[in-house]
Amino acid sequence: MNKLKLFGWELKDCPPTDVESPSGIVYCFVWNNPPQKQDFRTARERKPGVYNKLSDDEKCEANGFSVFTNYQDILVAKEDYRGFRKAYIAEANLTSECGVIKNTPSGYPSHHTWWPPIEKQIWLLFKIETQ
Amino acid sequence: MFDILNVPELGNLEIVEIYDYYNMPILFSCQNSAAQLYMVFFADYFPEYEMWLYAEVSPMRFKRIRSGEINLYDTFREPEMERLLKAMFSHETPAEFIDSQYIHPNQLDNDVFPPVSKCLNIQKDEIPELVDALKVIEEEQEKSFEVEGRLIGLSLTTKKFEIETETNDKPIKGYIQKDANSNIRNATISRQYKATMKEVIKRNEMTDEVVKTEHILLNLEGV
Repeated sequence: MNKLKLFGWELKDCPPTDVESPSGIVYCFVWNNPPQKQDFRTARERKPGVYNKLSDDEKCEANGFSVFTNYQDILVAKEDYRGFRKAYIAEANLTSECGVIKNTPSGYPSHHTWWPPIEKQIWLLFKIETQ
Repeated sequence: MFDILNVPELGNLEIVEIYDYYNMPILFSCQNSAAQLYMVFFADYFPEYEMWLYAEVSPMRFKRIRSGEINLYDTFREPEMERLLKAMFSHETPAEFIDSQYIHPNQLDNDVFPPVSKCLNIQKDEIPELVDALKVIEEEQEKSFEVEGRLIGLSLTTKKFEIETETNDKPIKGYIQKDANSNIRNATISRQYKATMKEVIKRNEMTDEVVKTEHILLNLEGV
């Protein structure tokens, strides 16, 4: 599906085989307007102590990025966590050139894990949502 | 190095279950080596650091939280021990531990807590295996049984297996018997097998309730 090197490539079976090509709008939280590189750090990068305690499947997720495909879900997450209420919602239109995506509905039905190509400047794909 | 799973007051924590995930577990249960259970919540974000809350929970309360009988607001706003551990970590990579202290929930703004409407709703009867928190009696069933299916997971290191069958909605998972025979050791993933296994039922000693049913794989025959 993707010949580019994707996030998670160092792990066995990561990204998993049951992924899809992304197509359409996804939403995520960012702390900078416009979004910056530091808004897109994986759990592996930010919380290595936690990462090392995860199962193999969870480690693969932690090498990707959380995005929502449903705008309502990100609004619910924003309501649930005061930390997220302080964040911006950013949106991007992902295409098949943006890596692979998998529905990983942990807590929110449209939560997806996204494994983009490692070389891509993914923060440039996002703009602050103004709905 | 301290992090959200290694806090000075609580020790080294292992995740029991993750309920909300956003780039990392943000609402989860965990347990320390003394078998104390905690519910943990990503409570707030500041430019320099993030704040996490830890509520000690008994196994009985844990069960009520998982089922949704106790909402997540009460989990943290009305903790059994009338205290929360508040821990702060920097956004640095790796996160730097800043401070942690026990506080009364009254000391926090009300909107730090999860909304009253937020509940877990875990339908599974099985509760995760906890380190000695529940006294569990294991009953190995005498009779073995056979199932035919596709072997989708097998690890001789962790002794775990997983078989997908046409009759079960979910794959049958479990453990390989102590001394795996050559059929099991040489089995091939994705192949169809007739698997012989036994059930081990784990019961809570106090309530006699079934906590978990495990499968022990005894043999695999190619079909």
